[in-house]
Amino acid sequence: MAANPSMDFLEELGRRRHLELFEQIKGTLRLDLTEGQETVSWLLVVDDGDVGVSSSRQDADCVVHAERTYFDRVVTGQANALAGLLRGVIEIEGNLQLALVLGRALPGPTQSRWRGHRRSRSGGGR
Amino acid sequence: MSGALVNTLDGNQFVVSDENGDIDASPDSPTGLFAFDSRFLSRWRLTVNGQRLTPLSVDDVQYFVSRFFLVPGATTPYVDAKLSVIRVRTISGGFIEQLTVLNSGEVPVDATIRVDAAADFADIFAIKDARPKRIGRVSLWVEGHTLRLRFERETFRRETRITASDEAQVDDNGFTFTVRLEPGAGWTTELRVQTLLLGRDDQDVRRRFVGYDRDIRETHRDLEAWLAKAPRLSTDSDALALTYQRSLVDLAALRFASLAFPRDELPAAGLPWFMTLLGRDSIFTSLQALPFFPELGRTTLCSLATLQGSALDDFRDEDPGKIPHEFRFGETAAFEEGPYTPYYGSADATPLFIVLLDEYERWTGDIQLVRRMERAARSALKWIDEYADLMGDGYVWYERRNLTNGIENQCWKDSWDSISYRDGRFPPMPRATCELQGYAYDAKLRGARLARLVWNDPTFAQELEASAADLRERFNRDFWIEDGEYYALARDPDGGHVNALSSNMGHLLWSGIVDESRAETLAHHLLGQRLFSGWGVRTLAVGEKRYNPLGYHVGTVWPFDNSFIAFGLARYGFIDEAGRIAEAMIDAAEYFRGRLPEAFAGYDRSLTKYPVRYPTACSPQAWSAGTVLLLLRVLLGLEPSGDQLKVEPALTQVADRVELSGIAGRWGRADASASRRPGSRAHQHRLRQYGGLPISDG
Repeated sequence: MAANPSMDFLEELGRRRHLELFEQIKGTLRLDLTEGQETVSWLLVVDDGDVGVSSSRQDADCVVHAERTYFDRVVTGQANALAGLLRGVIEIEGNLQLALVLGRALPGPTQSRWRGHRRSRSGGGR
Repeated sequence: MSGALVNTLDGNQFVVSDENGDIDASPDSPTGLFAFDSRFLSRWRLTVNGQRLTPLSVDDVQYFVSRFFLVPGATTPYVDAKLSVIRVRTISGGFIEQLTVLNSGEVPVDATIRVDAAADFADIFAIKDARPKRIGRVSLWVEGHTLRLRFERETFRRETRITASDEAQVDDNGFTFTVRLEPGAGWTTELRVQTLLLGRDDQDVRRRFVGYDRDIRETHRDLEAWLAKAPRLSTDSDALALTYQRSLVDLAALRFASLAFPRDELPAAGLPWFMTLLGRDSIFTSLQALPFFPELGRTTLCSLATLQGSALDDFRDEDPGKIPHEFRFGETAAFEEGPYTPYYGSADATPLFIVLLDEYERWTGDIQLVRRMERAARSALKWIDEYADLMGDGYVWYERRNLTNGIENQCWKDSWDSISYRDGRFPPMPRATCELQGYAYDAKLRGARLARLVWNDPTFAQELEASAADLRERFNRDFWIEDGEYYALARDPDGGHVNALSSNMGHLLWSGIVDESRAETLAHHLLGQRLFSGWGVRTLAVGEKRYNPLGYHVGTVWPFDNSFIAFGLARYGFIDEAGRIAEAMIDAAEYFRGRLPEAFAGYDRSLTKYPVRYPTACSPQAWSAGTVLLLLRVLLGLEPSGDQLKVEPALTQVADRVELSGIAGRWGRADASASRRPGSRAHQHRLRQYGGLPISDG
């Protein structure tokens, strides 16, 4: 089966069931990911930290639309979602706050120059 | 260009034009119609019978309305114009220009009125760096009486739509009106300009924002409501009253609803370069404005928390828990040619976020918000110990990881040359400036208070208090320069003192990290000849190698800096010194007609009879507008104490009578007043508290 990082990310999110980041937040967010003519929809239900992920087309408080290939890059830390929003490759309708919270659950770039404290680095690093 | 520029603004949509109302932008001049960091009009030129117009007077009626009285042709010593033009410009949702041509002569006149229009869609950063635009395509076409100019770069699309009345002839470059004016008659038309951020459906993505497309009546009502909310000031000082009124209006003008927070209004930092969300600026402005507009604090906290860092991203200098520095909406941000979605390059915004959260609660009693912010606050506190401590020695350090377009100095003095030794050398990275340690100390103590009061975690509170006490002790040992008797500007990575004498120490007094025994020495430095110009405290002391009275962070006077220095001096009981700073600021403000700019020159007051303008200072600037608000708090000695407001006035030469009524807070509303006999040190003061709903979350 071809790699599908978007699906992997969303399924992993569903498996985690509870994210501290989502605490005190309640709402539904639908992701419409298109690939050619096809659109695959995912529904995230967030309730005070608990998160449920399913494949569904039902109405949601916030709807995010993107090409799946682009979203693949977002979930692997190669593209920035907010830059994508300004560029028009990601579109958001409804409650933007929910989308921003989801954005903070994204992994970010895989590599960083960050090496932790200088002193602890000489002792083996982090 | 005729010299002075005229600004008309509403939030982050604004026009900067010449004095006759024309826009003739070059690639590097900040004139034009701007929205969301893009320039939607770069040419907007009015001619009557082929002649450009000369201004007789310009009125900024309101920040969102400018009125130009013009005559065709160049001015001669003897102006005998039969034709005159009134150009009324409004920014309110969209941009509307009303043109009126009057014939005061005795014979009919045939007039050709022409408005040339063009848009280069330059990004504000491209203008700042004088970078010509290369990528993307501008297309234009006429549709009925509308001229449409569209910029497209891949899926990034911006459009300017200019609509004229029926009688206009529209071409690709503008509008022509041919009119016959009878003697004594006038002719009027209106041009409407829309700025659009197009989404996939060809609709504006801002259509669900607060204030989008609101009309002028709503803008007027909104301003009136804002002013009605503010406490009323009565004083014998005309300069203070003028500055207060101007500041209230400027803060209203700078409010905007950003793409990220369509329903809330935040203060944009400053016109023209920083009409956006800046973490540090929003926090300082909200702190200054707490006794006046506590809701700004609330919006700022919520907005910044939503964008709090979650990953390690070198391009954005992002760490988990870090509070953002700057959000931008233009092309540079969209194509990741700059790191602005958002950029995290400031080391102070994160501790200051905690300071604001606590101070907000002390004023408003809004425990709900503190509860809601628990996770954000905890990760901000964790950032201080974890990610900011680059040297593992318990101090807050900064060093950019974005070496291309990240900010080198991630403190409020964020220009490249702001941090130096006395001899002008720059320290290696990372750097730990002194005021950052003060903010971290304050954040820990305030975090402890909230942990005990709201988060029900006394253990965490004790840890924070112990850590703060330890930081204070080490700081007073490691940053103190014995022979000069002041705190080093910064610590270098070898543990050495970056030993320039600077204004940064003043913020240490505000944070409370200064040993009581040293406060008096500090006050002497701050009000001494090397730092105090007579118009305020300079950013860098005279005598330091890099001192320059016109250096952005190395010699100019910053009003916002002075307001926190005065606050700090008052905290340690140096009331007269705080008063001298307040007096200098209000004196300076009078020369700027009540509007303190971002910064002004550091020349000695004995040398210049007026404060000298800094050439590219932003104005209006949010935290400069906030300056007089914090100074009023200092003069009246306003402090929340439990559920009460406390008043301990310290009036100086600024005024003999200051009355502030309708101060909102956890007490409901309160009136505070102070007076003294001219020149006397004895004060009389009064405080009256009365009902009204306390501020709450929701």
